[in-house]
Amino acid sequence: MILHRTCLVGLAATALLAPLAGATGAWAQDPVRGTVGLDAQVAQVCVLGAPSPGALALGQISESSGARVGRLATIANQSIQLPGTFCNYAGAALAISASPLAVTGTTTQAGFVGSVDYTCTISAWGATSATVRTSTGSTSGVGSPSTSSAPKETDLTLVVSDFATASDSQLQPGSYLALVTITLGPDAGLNASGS
Amino acid sequence: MKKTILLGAAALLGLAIAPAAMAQTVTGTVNVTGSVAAKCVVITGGSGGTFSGSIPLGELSQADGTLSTTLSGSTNASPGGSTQFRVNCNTAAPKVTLSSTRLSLTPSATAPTGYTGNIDYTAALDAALANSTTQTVSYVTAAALPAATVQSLSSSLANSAGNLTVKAYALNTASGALLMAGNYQSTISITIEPS
Amino acid sequence: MRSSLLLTVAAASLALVAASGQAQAQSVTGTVQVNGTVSNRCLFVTDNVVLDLGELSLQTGDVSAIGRLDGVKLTSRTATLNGWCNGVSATMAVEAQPIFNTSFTSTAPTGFERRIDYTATATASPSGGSVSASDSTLASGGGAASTTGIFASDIVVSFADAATPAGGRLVSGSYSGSVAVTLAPAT
Repeated sequence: MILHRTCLVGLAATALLAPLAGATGAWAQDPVRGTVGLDAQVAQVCVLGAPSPGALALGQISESSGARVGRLATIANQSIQLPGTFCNYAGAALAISASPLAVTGTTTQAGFVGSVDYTCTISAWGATSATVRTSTGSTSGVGSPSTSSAPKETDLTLVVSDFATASDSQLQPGSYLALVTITLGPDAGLNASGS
Repeated sequence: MKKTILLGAAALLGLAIAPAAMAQTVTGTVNVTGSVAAKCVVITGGSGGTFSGSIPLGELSQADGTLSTTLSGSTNASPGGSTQFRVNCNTAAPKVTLSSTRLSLTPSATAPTGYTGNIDYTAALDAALANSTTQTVSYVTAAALPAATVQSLSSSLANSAGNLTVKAYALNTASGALLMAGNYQSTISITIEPS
Repeated sequence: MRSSLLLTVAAASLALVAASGQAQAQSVTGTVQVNGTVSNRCLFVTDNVVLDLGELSLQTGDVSAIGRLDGVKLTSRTATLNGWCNGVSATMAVEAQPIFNTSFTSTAPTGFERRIDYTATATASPSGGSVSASDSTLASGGGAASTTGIFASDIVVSFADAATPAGGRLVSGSYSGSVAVTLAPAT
């Protein structure tokens, strides 16, 4: 009888030990994740390259001798560079507005002309050129804008050409001044008059 | 007068001779004594003078890394875990000595700030008594372990299976402490003397 | 004879008494092992932070620089997560995603960019000293894991090496990126 009891104790001891041995390796839960979200924006911006040259000095624009003395001389095409022009968004429109080359500080005598028209063109911006031709009596004309369908960075060349007077009369003596404004921006904002 | 004495003597003589002459009963008394040693004996969970068992509590922490609220909220009526034994004691007031160690990370390790590797709890021995009541002897662990609880039972142990239940409950740590991962162990020590 | 009988009985009683005097009390002792386990676990207390970096391109200064990445907008910022791991084998790893233009998803024209790369570093503070893990958006997949061991602290995510692939100007639009920090209880 004593032997029988000893046997039972032995078995019980083994059973108790087994779960302890299994428990020595505490198991692991799944990895967990934390997140840092980054939100930002880039605003729409256009930059026109600094015009080079900054101004056109045409000098004497009337013939100083010959049959057409006093009348508009032939003026060669002029170019102004605007290097490094860019817009960082699609759909930016380039528009040119120009005022006629008009005499300043004096009235135009009868029979004389005091205003010279010309054409401005920039071809490098969109699929079609931006262009405008001045017309007498309009202080500023906004011609056809040109839209780029993608963000764009390029060197622009403004070509000023086709100088002409409304009639081949003599030019009123004096200083002549014209202002060309190039606007680059969202298409919707280009209806305002230039400065 | 003289005759009387002789009669007495004759009576005596008569008695002395009586056994030889007729049968008479003699009575004698034998005191039978015996004793029962005061003893406690393990019936279930061990044998002779020792018993052993285990209370596996399983996973001690909850999702937020602190002690499970089920374990911290456990009570004698609903303990974290328990195990039963049967010990027979033949005395009227067996004496129980109960102590325990803390439920500690084994092997131990230094706890970083905010963590703990020690859990205190209440170790209890519920004794089913012959008077149909249950007496609870308990011991509460602490960083400085108190002296063992020594308590005499108010009645004999019930003569029934599983008359001793060892329980672990009311587990606790410092408020908000995270539990270090690993295996935790505690040893509850129990002595039951006849008196 | 009677006397003799009594004597004999008395002797027997004495003998029995002597025998009971030699019996001893027996105690029992027992031990109960209480055991339990705590699983290796990690948890994020703060698991999500969104940084609004604002305008990413340079808007002032030299004309040649306008529109290009202003890296300081990213590298000057930090994000603070918070978490813990309760086991000595716990590790932390980072996987960073580039910041992309989510409004303009075509290929960026020549001279333009729609992607910003950077290196993100997460730093936790276990009691034995800070532990970091990094990842560059230029490398595919996440960065190598670092062992943090047991800790409960802020996890600070910082940024460096912000750059566009070719240094061009950023296409206008909304930009978005993310950094994932993973705490693993055990390898």
